[in-house]
Amino acid sequence: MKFFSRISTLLLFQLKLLLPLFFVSVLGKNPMCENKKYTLENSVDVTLHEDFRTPLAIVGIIFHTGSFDEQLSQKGITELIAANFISRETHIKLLELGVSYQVNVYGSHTEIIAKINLRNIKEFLQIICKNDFSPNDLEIMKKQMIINNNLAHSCFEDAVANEIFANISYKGCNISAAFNERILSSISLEDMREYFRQHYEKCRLSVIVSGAIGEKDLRQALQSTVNNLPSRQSHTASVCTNQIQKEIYIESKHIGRSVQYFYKIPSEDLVFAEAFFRIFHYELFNFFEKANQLISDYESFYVISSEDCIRQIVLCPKSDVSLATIRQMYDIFVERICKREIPTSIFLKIQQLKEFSNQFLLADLNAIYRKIKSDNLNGLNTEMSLKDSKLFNVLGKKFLKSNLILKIITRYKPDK
Amino acid sequence: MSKKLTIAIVLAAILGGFAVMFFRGEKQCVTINPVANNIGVKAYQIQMKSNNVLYMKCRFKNAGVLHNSSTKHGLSVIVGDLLCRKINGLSPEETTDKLRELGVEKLSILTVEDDFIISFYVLKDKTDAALQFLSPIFSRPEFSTNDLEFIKEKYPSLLELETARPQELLWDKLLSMLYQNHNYGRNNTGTAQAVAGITAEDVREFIKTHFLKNTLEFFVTGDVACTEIATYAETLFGKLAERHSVESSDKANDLSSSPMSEEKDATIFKKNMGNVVGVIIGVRIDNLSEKERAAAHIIIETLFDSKIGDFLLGLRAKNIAYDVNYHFLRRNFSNVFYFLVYIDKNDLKNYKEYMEDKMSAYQKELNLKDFRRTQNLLVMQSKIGFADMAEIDKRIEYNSLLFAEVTQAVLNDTARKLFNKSYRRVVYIGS
Repeated sequence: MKFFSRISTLLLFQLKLLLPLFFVSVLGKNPMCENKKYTLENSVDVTLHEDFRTPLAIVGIIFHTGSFDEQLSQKGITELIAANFISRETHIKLLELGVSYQVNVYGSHTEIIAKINLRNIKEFLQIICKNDFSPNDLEIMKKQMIINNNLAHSCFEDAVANEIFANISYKGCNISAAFNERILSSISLEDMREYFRQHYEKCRLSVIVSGAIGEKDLRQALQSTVNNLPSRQSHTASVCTNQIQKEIYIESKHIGRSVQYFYKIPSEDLVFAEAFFRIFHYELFNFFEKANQLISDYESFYVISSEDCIRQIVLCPKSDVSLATIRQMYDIFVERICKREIPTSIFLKIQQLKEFSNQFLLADLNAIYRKIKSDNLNGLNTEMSLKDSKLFNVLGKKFLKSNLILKIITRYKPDK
Repeated sequence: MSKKLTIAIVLAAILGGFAVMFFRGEKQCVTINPVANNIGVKAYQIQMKSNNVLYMKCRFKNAGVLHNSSTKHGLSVIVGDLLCRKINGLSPEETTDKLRELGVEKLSILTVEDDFIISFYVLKDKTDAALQFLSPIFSRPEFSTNDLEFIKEKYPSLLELETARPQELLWDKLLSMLYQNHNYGRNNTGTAQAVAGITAEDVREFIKTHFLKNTLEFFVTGDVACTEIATYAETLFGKLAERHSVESSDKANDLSSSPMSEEKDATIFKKNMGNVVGVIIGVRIDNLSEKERAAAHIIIETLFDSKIGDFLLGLRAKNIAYDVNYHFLRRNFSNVFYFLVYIDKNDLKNYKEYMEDKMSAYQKELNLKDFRRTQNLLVMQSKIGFADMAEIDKRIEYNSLLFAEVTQAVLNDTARKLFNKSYRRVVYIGS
């Protein structure tokens, strides 16, 4: 009797372990949940999107420090750190676990992103947390960065990017992405270790998981691993001057003809800006159609500098359109946006397109991960729809007239 | 007590059954199921649970730019740009707007290499309307001479990029050496002269002769039944012609008359590269079994792993810094492995010697134990499924590869081909 009692207890206990498999195989049809956010005791922010469609997960470990944090005297150090971030031993363990991963450096953050079978999430986190940052081959890494830079320089690929970064701010300070070989050569191993201690061990850390793991299991996995790391602290911001509006011409024949406008959007206005620019693009599209296809293409995206957002609008005029004409037409369009009464039907249409777009953003784990990361970094935790034409006009004046900070013009000669 | 035991056993049996399904499902996470349909096209289901989104891919075999005749080299690129520009009498802007309204996203047309590939995401509950709207592009595309001229206008900047980037120059030269007198030896953009001569009639003729039921493969990824896919195929391709495909005039599938160049290496001079030199090594192997192809992937991923790859570690030991890019490219009738390295030009002599020594050593013998880790990784990755619907391309290729069956003997046989000097050509670029 005791034996049967033990067996039945054991069986019931084992059932608990099979429950996740049950979800994956049967309830996988639509087991998608809202994002769950919480903060661990050691200040690590966690965002989990439970998704049991496939037995894997995308895990992102994000350090809130990136190339924008570099002092001028240490330009390039974050790239060197990223190249050495994962030690050889850790790399071997991850390979053996069947994990594919990348280490990416951005302006405001550094990311380790991995695709993992759900059974290996805990082990992955343990391996990463025990990773020993022990940079080596420093001279080779520097030479590699110099080679990369020379290559990009020969193709003018960085020309526009350099101008952008030279003219936007991060935490109120001007930054530049310009590569400097002399500065790079002066960085030592000790500099890297010290920079790592200051910026990576003590910076805010976030973990984003999109995949087949429940909240309880993730908490358990994180508690036993991330607790090994020192406590997190925030950076203090430095203060600098504001920029003034500039206009820059780039003559490279390798970059197509374009006129680009850059608007600075303060972080507190980001949610409004999202809603505003959705309608802006729709109207831009229709405006240039009526102007007989002056442009062959246009696009817009934004550069995030963590505290400020830069919205970039790119117009690519046809070859027979002069610079004066495209500027004039765009100015007319901006005036119109700030005054025109937008019909309710347009607002409803934009809302519908946004709802479609949201569905695509949830199509697969990679897309979900990117959306969560973007929203977390931009502080876009809510969505807004604009339905008021007057508010739209007010936002137009604010974003398009007061906040234009830079124009870049490529392959046109300056107006006489 | 017995009641407790009974309940436990019954629940264990049920959940155990699902566990079996799960594990079996895990092994079959990347199954590609053929779909029968009334119009006789090759259609496939790739089951992936999703919210309300499907990913569709239409591949017309041998309709890519590599199969254009030499006088119309670039025609596939132009057709690709024109195909979805105007649909059902709408202007280009109205067409774009309509596609968005119909829940079509990321419509993409890829014409490089062998095949003409159209792919897009669509909301499942709008699929019928979206496919009805798209179906005319395959049989009666709408465009005017003005549209054609408008598209051609973008072409010169495409070509400029081709000549601006060292990688493109290296690749074009390498291919011309690997495949002499053959379409595969041409670039994947076209030529200015050929594109300038393309007419509206050329575009219409291309569509008539290349968009055929028996040259098409249609893949649908998402939470979708085979019967639904069959309906989608019938909606999209019901009006396609069905006859034998017209072989391109250059007979792309006949490689017997395409030897490799006599010269084993070549040099390109390019300004503004400073102290950087690029070296691309290319290997052409026409016939490889699926097992050998799997072995080639294992060998390449192991030797060129960024942290533990033997080839790259050796370069570091010699204090040679590098920027590396490699790929194993499968074409319809041949395979190319290339390995591109950018180094400081002062290291070029050492690099050449090192490269020759290593390639000879690999050709003689490879130790399987060094490759076991990569083999296991590739086996695991081929089983665990998708994180991204668009991974379908990699999965379709990997699905047929027999990673788990690669043995020491297969590895060595493949290495003898991969590192055979006579299959290899090298191109250098620098200032």
